[in-house]
Parts: sequence; C-alpha cells; structure tokens
Amino acid sequence: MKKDNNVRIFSPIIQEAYDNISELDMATDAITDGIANRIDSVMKEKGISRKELAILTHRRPSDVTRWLGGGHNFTCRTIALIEQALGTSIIQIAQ
Amino acid sequence: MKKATVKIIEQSDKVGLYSICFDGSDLSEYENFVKKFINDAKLNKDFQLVLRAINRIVANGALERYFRPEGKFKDNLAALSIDSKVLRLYCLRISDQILIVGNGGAKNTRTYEEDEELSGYVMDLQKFDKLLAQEMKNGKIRIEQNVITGIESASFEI
Repeated sequence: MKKDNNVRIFSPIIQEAYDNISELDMATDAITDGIANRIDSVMKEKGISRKELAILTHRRPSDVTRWLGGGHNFTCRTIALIEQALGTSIIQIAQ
Repeated sequence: MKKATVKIIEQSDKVGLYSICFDGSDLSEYENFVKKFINDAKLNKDFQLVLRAINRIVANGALERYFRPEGKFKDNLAALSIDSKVLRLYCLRISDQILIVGNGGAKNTRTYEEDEELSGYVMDLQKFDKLLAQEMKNGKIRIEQNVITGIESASFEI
C-alpha cells in the first residue's frame, strides 16, 4: 500500500503490516469512509444523534456506530434506508 | 507498577499516533498487538480491518465517529469502530489530532471486563490517561495540535 508523502511511519513492523493492505481495500475504504462522512455530516446538520438514527432506521445503536466507523461495506438497501431516515441523499449516481 | 515511556508510531498532517512502551520491551503496546496478529491466518481479515481503520485515522484525524467509547464517562478510552465481532484494539482518543494506541486482542467474552488479558490492556490505558492528564496539568507535557511535546523524556509508573 502506498502512503501519502506527508505520513511518517516510525515503526518497521507497522510499515510491514501496512504493506499487506491491497490497493483494492484502500479504494473500498475511500468509498465507505466517504459514505460514513456524509451520513455524519447530515446527522450533525440536522441534529440527529446515533440513538435517534437507530430508532429511525429500526436498527441497533451499535449498527449506527459501525456505519459511521468508515469501514462498513454498505449494501444499497442500507444506504436507501438511511437516506429515507435522514430525508436526504447520501450518494449520487454519475450520469 | 510498571515503568513506561511513550513512543511516536506514526505522524501525519492530521494526527500524531503514539503508543506506550513498557520497560524491558523494545516494542510499544500497539507494535506488540501488530506482532501478535500479523501472521495469524485465522484472524487475518479482522486484523486487516484494524489496520485499515488506523490508516483512515492517519489520513483524516482521530475523529469521534471512528471510535466507540468503552470506558467511563470522563476518560478518553475508546475502541476502534470496525466490522469485527472478534478483534478489539483499545486507544485513548485525546483529541482529533492525538491518539494513544494501546494493545488489544480477540474478544471471546461479552464484555472486556470478563477477559483478563483485555481488561489488563484497558486498565493500563486508563491509568496512563490519568497520569498524562496530571503531567499536562503541571505543564511538563503539552499538546500542540498533532504533537505531544515533552513526552519523549517523560516516564510513567503504570
């Protein structure tokens, strides 16, 4: 895995561990974290707590915590559920 | 009581990642965690999730949404929020720009309190959290954005 130039790693074993992360995993994380960031922003904008989003989506608060963690592999159905609960779009499809 | 120092692990524009290093060990607690799981075939997928979560933190900062609080209301103890039912990595989230990464392991009990190894890691971090707060209060250690100044020369009795 390539690291940003502004990142310094001081530990050889940590560097070795990072080297095992694939480019595909990195690309996936960029998408999932982008979705999580958007959900977090809308929640803050609308003053909706994790607990409230859990109630609105009929899911557990721990599910919301996982969604916001940035590594959750969302299904389209979950995204649609969150969009309905928040009353706004989370992702846009390129035309 | 164990004597410990603090080691810088990773530094980016967004965050400084530190870890506790106990006397007699060349590796910090986070490095010990990595060493323990880097070649563990059974937990490799979960371990990768931890690394990827740390990588997101390095890229974007130790944002609150990346963690779930694990400790008491007043402390900084948190676990990484990842899609793993098994592996836990405990941290002290001092701010968006400073993270102390601790140790962790496979959680086979309902709560970490029921697991001797995991509760030991948690207690070490909680003790360190208090000591760090004291040192900051008396001005020996300062947090300046993504850097902890004065930490290199400090030692702690945990």
